[in-house]
Amino acid sequence: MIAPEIIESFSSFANLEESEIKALATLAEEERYKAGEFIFYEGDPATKMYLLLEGQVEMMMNTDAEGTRREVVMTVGPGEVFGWSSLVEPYQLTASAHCATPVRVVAIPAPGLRALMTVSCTLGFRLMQKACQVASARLRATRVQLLSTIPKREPLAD
Amino acid sequence: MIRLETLAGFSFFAGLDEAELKSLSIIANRVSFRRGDVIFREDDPAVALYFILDGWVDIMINVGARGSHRELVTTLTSGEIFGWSAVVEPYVYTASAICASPVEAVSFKGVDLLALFEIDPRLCCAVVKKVCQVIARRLRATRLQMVSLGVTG
Repeated sequence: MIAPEIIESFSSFANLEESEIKALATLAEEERYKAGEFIFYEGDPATKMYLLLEGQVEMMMNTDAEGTRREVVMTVGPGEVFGWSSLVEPYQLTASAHCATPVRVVAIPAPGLRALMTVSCTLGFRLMQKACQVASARLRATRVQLLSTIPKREPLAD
Repeated sequence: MIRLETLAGFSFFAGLDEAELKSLSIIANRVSFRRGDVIFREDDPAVALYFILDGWVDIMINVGARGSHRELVTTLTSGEIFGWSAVVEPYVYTASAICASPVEAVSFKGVDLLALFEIDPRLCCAVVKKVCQVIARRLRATRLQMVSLGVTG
């Protein structure tokens, strides 16, 4: 449980009904991480959505099949939200979240959040639209990465 | 406006009832393209979302220094959508769509789909959710392609 004002301070959750904010505040919990820790790993089940209060979080994607190498695709700062895969089937994380600094987040359990979204169309529409935006950017980045690794064809020898 | 039956039967619209399909049919437009037609270019303002009835559409992105040439990322066909940036901020197309064959499609203006929220918020939410699922599926497919190529950093 956290203070409702904290939820409201995030633009994705601004101007919602008081009952909706209260419900979110009841579900949410604050979490702290040390610099260097991973909040979650790519491929893990997406069980929570995160609102960043303090610190910098690097979203990293695997660059090899084994997941032994990663590169930063995006950095998230205070006031931003991450963990959008928790809203879209199959609810699997598409990037790892690495704490570049000590980090304080608000974590909202996904099942409760998704239930709230079916009840509140305003919340549902807004969050789903934002999830589209994040997924679209991630798709573009992945496509660029894929294209850059395909070896150029050599001309056929006579 | 198009006939309701045009959309019914495609799995993308599964789960929508007749009234909802009717609402979508009213704002839908039937469009035809020739092979080679450029439906839209990457970075164009995203005006419409498209649903393919028949034909093949190449999705390409700009690569190389200053986007010097286009590379094919995927080819879409009957039952698939593209141009979702018409309903996703910042409303700018993130790829180019070029017809690989004659194409029959249905287009929805982004502003019409978003305005649906005032009339039928549940339908609007359902459409945006379906769009999100499509993007997520394409992301998974692209990542699988990378894995199968044995991509190393």
